[in-house]
Amino acid sequence: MRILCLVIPHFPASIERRDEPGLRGRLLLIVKDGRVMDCSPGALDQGVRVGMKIEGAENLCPEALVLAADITRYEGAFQRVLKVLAVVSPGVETGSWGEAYSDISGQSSRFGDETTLCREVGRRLYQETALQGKLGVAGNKFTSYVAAHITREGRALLIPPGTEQEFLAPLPADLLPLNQEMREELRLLGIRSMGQFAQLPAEAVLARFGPQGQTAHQLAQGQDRRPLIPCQSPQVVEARLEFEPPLEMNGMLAQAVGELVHTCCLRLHKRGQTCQEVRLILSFEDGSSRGAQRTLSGPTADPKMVDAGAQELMRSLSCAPRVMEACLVLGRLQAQRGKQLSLGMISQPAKVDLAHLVGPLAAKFGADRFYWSRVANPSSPMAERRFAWQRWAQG
Amino acid sequence: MSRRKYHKLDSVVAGLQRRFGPRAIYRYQRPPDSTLPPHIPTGFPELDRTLGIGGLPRGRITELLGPVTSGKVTLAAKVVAQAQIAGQQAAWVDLSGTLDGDYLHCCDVDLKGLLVVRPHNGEEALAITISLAAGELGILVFDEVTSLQGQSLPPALLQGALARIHHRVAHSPCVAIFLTTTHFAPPGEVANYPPGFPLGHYAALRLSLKREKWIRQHGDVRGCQASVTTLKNRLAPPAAPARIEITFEGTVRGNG
Repeated sequence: MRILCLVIPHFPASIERRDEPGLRGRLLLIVKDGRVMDCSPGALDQGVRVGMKIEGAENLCPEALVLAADITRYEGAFQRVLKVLAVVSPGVETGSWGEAYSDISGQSSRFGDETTLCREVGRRLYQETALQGKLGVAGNKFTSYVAAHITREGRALLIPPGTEQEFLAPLPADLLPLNQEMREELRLLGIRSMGQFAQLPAEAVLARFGPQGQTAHQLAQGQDRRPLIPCQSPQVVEARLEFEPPLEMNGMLAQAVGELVHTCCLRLHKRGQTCQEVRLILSFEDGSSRGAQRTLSGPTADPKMVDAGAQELMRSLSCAPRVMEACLVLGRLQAQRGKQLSLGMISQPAKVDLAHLVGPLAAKFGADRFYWSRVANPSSPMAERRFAWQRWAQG
Repeated sequence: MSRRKYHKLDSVVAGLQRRFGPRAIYRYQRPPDSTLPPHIPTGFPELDRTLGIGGLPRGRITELLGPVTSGKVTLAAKVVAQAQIAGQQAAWVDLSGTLDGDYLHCCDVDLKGLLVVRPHNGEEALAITISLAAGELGILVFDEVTSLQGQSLPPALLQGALARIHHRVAHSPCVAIFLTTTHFAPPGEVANYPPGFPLGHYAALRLSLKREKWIRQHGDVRGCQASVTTLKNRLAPPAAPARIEITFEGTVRGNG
């Protein structure tokens, strides 16, 4: 088995720099929920760590530019990266942001050899996403990850089959997936490289470090038995509306968003599913687009709850010019759960289609039982001439 | 009850639910006082106040009793109009065959959104009502119970039909209104129920309407004033009768 690993380091920061060339060369802190989600390598050098509070990060790196994380944009960019890898092989597994694995066994013949394949991936990646990644190819996931990690941007490092242990041996043991305490213990024991760690007896490693240490020991020996699990594209329900002429941010847009919610919820009902995430993407007249997403309090297919979330998102995006297109995406779908009927609380009735209700009844009892009336001659002195009956089918 | 006994009761209930299904046994949880049971307003504010919950209850059967020209149809029509304003669908089972579309129009009913069922006999009327009650209708009016009289329907069929309607309405958000005409027989009013039709038992709300006086204008009769007395209300304590005013031009207003 040959695994290709693609790593785009500091993916959110790379996206920000790609989209805003003025940010190149500047220190960046990407913040979500008051904590550092990602930062540029320069900020890391100054002591900033992912997950720390923004106040602490600003103290350590006062000259850094703080940016709010735009998850929707990052996700969109990452999906495009995955599409590039899917060209090489359909089985693509995702890791963290900017990290993906692909099984390229037997694929190199399509491209000549693995070097050409990696060159093709790098070329397509830059062409499609304007990003440069680091590529590693090896016989298992961990070795390919390490290879991609230590190589330079835009380059690929290929590890020939059977040489994984030799390749890993001189590399620092810090690259192994160990917790801080175990790393410290290894340091105290004088074990610096993966080669030193791999030479330890397996029983002793298990006795001292437990199952996690045993796994790391096997990885250091170039054995990674973890299979590549291809990711499935997340199921979503999506609806979009284009506006010609463009809409102002007012009640009309709110109504349009309501329509999108209604359409999506109808699809959810038909599938017997619920959603827990609402994403709204607005494309503006000037060619820009903005998106926001919100996690609902629980899985639901209730149009009212979804609409409340969507309207809130719309208001949060309301500082822009006229809207050309609105796209609503409902994510984190799951099957609807059965509910116990309650004696006390009865929900408001959904608006039903009377024709849908009458159809089976008319077939059973006859169409001449179901009517609707209309005002025929309101000024007639005779009451029975003021209105007329019509069969429901004629309505 | 001690905590231990509570735990024991919980385990017994859980065992029964596992064996017979979750709907076999469950605790009735009283809704918080701040939330009223779901309802549709009648359009007469004074009557809504008298009813205690702000209107006619959803998921329950409501019976309107009264002699002719007491305002039963008008009251039902106003509730239909209120339901339609809220975007809900309505159906009217016109067993008596006396429905006046023009008058419903004057009562603000959207005729295009009202399904009128004109069954050929009482058995058919009950069967269609059972089917409609299972739908997601906002309101269903059965006009009228008195017409079932004299159709030689077996009492078991009537009772079974009413039980099924009651069950289906209880699991739907529908307000089911049954109109019953009463006639005067000393010492009071008597409802013309067919034998074996225990509507009074199944109805959660029974309202008796009685015309009190005619409303005259320049010597002509323009309408009438009726009093609505609550005979039975499972959702609120009893209250004093409410008065409603009906004018024949179709403008109907509450005296609240």
